[in-house]
Amino acid sequence: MAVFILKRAAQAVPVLLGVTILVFAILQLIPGNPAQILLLGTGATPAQVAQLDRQLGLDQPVVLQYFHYLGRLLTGNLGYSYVTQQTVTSEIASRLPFTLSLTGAALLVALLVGIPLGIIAGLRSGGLVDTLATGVSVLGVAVPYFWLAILLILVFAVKLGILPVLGTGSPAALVLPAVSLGWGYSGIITRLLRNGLIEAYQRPFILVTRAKGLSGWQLLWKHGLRNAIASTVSVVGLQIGYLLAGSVAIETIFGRPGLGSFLVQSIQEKDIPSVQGIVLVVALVYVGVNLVVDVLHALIDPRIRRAVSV
Amino acid sequence: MPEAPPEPLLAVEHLGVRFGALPAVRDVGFALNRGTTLAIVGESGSGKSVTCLSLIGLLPASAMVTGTARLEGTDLLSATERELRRVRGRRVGLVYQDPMGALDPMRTIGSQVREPLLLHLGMRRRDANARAAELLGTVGIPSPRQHLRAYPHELSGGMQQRVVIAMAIACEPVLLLADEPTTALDVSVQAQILELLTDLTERLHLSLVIVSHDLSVVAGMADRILVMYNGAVVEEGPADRIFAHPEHPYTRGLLASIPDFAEDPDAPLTGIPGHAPGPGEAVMGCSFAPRCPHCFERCTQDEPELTETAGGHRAACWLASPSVRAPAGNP
Ligand SMILES: Nc1ncnc2c1ncn2[C@@H]1O[C@H](COP(=O)(O)OP(=O)(O)OP(=O)(O)O)[C@@H](O)[C@H]1O
Ligand code: SF4
Ligand SMILES: [Mg+2]
Repeated sequence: MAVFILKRAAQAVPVLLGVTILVFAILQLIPGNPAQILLLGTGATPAQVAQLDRQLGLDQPVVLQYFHYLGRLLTGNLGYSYVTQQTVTSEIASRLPFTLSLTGAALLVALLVGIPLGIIAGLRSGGLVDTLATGVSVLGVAVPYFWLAILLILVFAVKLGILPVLGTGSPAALVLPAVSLGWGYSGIITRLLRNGLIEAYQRPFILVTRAKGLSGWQLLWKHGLRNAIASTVSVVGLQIGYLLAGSVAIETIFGRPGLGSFLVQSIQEKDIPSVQGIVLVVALVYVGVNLVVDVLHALIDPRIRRAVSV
Repeated sequence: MPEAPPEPLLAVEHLGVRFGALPAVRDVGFALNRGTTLAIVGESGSGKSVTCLSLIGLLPASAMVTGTARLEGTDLLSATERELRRVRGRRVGLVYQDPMGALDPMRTIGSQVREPLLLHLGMRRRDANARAAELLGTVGIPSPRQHLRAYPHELSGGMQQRVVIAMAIACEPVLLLADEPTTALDVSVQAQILELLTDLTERLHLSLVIVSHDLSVVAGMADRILVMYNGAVVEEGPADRIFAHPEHPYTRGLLASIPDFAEDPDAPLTGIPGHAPGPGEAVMGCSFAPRCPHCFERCTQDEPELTETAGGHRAACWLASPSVRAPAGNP
């Protein structure tokens, strides 16, 4: 298993390198140069701009600049925010908990709703519950976050007044954002689990195992679920990007000071180092989550363990 | 009751299965005595698997089953799910086609062989483990202790089928249902598995229902043979009689498609030409008539009933029926 984890982690390295190249390219692709943006409105002379260019190393060849950038990243230095002059690392660190608690809570909502619905829909495929669950999950995926968020705010905060909208203090304040964000993901989990179960139950071992005298629950618990999860868990991991992307809109709507709203704000302010830093961190989280999911997959499915460790 | 003939272990009467409006199995009946082997033979789609699975209530919910199937006197077809769970794996074991898919890929061999022991015999884990190793030895798996920890994908198809057999006999059932147990295997492995099954029936006094679409597979092991065509029994009787005096043209066709039994030089060696009617396709008279080389007028008007021709030998063919003598050309 250790071999599996090491190999899988090694596979993540080129992906992360690719991300750094893309993030670095953000700087190269935006119009104007950073020194101009920084000194915008200060009435700086071209000479001053050129001097800042030198300070920032922007007069060097691009490839060299990239390696400098990479070297800085490896020491955990993400640069300084153009806006606050604070390190991007500290700016991100102060906001990360808000995003992690939101996506974590949304994931919990998605799992709590998606797993039971997926199981019932899969076991009773074609039945009423399946049709309802399919409808709910299609709606969940099709309805945009912000629309659902606004609807939930109107109903639960404005009309019923039972849940707060803004604020980050109480756990109650997390409910509406988490439901808005997790709902669509729960639809994805429902669909995947349902299809995984249906596919698993068509395999001959289910018949042979039932012929040993197991009850429906024993069959589901000991054999059906594990096979269904094995065939869906990696897709569930890939779809986690859905949550990360959605957190941008949700944080902005609910006024949560997380990475998503920070990203929006940084883009508006052309705070390039912050944008770069956020994109990198989000990519790192995404790659990390998928690493964990793949390890889970290997723990569940012995064929994966073997395929990689041989 | 010393004089009474022995009560059969399993008595199936008027078994019918339909999926919605489509009949899959019609009026199937047979009796299986203790310690004997019955082979169910027929082409693909003739209803062999449906017949087998209906006995232990493992057909999909869409199947409507009628008739009776008494195992040691208790009707399995009217049993509740709860009652059936005590029959499955305990009194009736199932060996299935496609051994490569018949084991849960996520679980060790050991946990799968232990499962029925824990479930039905209430064994403790340690004892179940020892018994599971013993069972693997019984079905001819080398170094059983090590193989308990193996996963299905680490075993060959033949070995996986041995594991399935070990699971099926774990609780010492009285009846083993083997649905095409060797179809997916190499010829040499096929012979080994058949030998194992024959051996087990003798050692454990098991009764065996073995399904095959190939008469030659069951030639050495069956005491009785039941030939199915289009969901119905067309011939049934003692194996030696069926091989020596097949009554139904379909059975003769099946025999002729085995090279060793091809006594008729005119019979094609590659199966019977044409194909069985599809499900729900209505055929007037004998359902084999469109493919039958001996078809005559009556065949397309009235359906022949399964009739006894000689001691315990039944066939559903107008030519076999003792009440009607065939016109010229009767072979
Ligand atoms: N779940 C099902 N739903 C509808 N029809 C079915 C179902 N299972 C079987 N049938 C039908 O029942 C008939 C008999 O099928 P069965 O599987 O018993 O054939 P078989 O003799 O075992 O053939 P094979 O040699 O291919 O295994 C077929 O016409 C098939 O289409
Ligand atoms: S009844 Fe007629 S058609 Fe049917 S098998 Fe016999 S001879 Fe052939
Ligand atoms: Mg079959």
